[in-house]
Amino acid sequence: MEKKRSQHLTSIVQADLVSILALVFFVVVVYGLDTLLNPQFTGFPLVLTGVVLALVPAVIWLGFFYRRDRLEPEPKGMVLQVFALGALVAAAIGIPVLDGLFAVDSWLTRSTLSHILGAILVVGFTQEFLKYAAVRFSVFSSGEFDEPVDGIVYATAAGLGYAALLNVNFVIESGGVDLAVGVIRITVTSLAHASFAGVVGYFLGQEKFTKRPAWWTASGVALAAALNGVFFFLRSTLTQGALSASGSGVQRWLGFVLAAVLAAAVTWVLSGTIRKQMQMPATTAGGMEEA
Amino acid sequence: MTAQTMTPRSSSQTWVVFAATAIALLIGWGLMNFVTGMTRPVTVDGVSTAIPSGWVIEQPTTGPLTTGPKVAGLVFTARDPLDPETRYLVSSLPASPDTDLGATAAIRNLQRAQDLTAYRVLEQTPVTLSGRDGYRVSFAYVDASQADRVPVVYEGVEYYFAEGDQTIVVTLESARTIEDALAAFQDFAAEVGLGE
Repeated sequence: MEKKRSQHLTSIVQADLVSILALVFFVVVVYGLDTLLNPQFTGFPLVLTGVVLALVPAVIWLGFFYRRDRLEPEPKGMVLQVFALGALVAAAIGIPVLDGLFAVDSWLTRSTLSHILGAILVVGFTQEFLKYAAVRFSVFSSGEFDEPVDGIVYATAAGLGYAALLNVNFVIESGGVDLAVGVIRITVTSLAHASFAGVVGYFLGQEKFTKRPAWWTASGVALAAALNGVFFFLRSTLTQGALSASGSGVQRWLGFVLAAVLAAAVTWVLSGTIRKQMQMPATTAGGMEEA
Repeated sequence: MTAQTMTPRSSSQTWVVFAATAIALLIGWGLMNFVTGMTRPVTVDGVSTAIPSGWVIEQPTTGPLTTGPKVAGLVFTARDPLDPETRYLVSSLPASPDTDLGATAAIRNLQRAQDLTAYRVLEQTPVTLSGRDGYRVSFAYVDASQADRVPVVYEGVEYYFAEGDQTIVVTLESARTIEDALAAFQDFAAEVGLGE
């Protein structure tokens, strides 16, 4: 049994390495092509480029998180539905609320304090709540959501759907300019949205299968919103630096690298949490109280 | 797939999530209003006003303007670095106590029609802004001054106010629709005056 588990773990590590190499390859290819050819896209080719650039990292990250649930993999169709729902709530509610109602681009960066607070309270809470809702009001009540770790799997799917739509929007709004930098941003943004949603999913999983106080899941959404806000703040320094004459290249990239490190760290913690839950007997990991 | 009913515990969890999000967004809304309403006082060449915090000021006397065409009597421009296609301009024109604001506006319109591409006056009328009598001109023109970009249609509105021996002209120009920026601009225009 132990040997089988060890073999399984090895195969997952190998698959993860392939995923990460595939992502690096994708980024390098797009970066190289953009630098060499400097293509100019408009109309349908621009939309198509946006969709491809947004979907490739999203699908690779989706596979990465999906493999964590090795004991009882969720139906792929269900995971894809939640992914699509994440994209849908981003398009129908997330983007209109943040860009229209709150017009965050016009005031958030006026001061460092407003930037951090606004990023957490407005951007973070809006996005994480919508990812929460995409899971809570779809798969959460179904029989497929039958172990705590499923919360993380479905929430990361919702997060990746959300990120994919944001990334398509980003490519189209920027007119396909500077795809070399854009593809790095897209890849990191996908991972960040998946991992922060995974935090919400962890709390959702615990909510369903263990006895928790009423504020439990709200605290998960708040934690994810705080992480999301800090990520948004750090990542924005990339764009801000490009606009201001004072922002040096090093400063710009430092903020972006810190944002990427934050997303990677949350992913690492999530992976560890899933691994621990997998090792727990079913009675401890959850599932008993719902029966 | 087996449908399961929501437990009372899950229901209360959901309501707390809704409440927490609503509270966060309400505080965020307050923060937005606070930040967008923040201003800082400025005085440039004897003309004082309050501009939104975070905006930058450019003076023709200290260097070339990075945006916009030349304007007669320009004292300074103010713009949001995040939105370079919208700007406020404050100009000061010599005047006498019996100067008619409508006539000053007509002369300025003629001058701008010569300087700018496709300059059009859309509307002009005497107005009272925050209890201050003035004259308003709505206009549009095409900015084709930059060789490396497609010509841009600018829409604008300006207020003329008599201030002692000067006529102060406060202008809003934007490459986007000006309706969204109008209320904030009117607050700005109402603050513009001579002296500290």
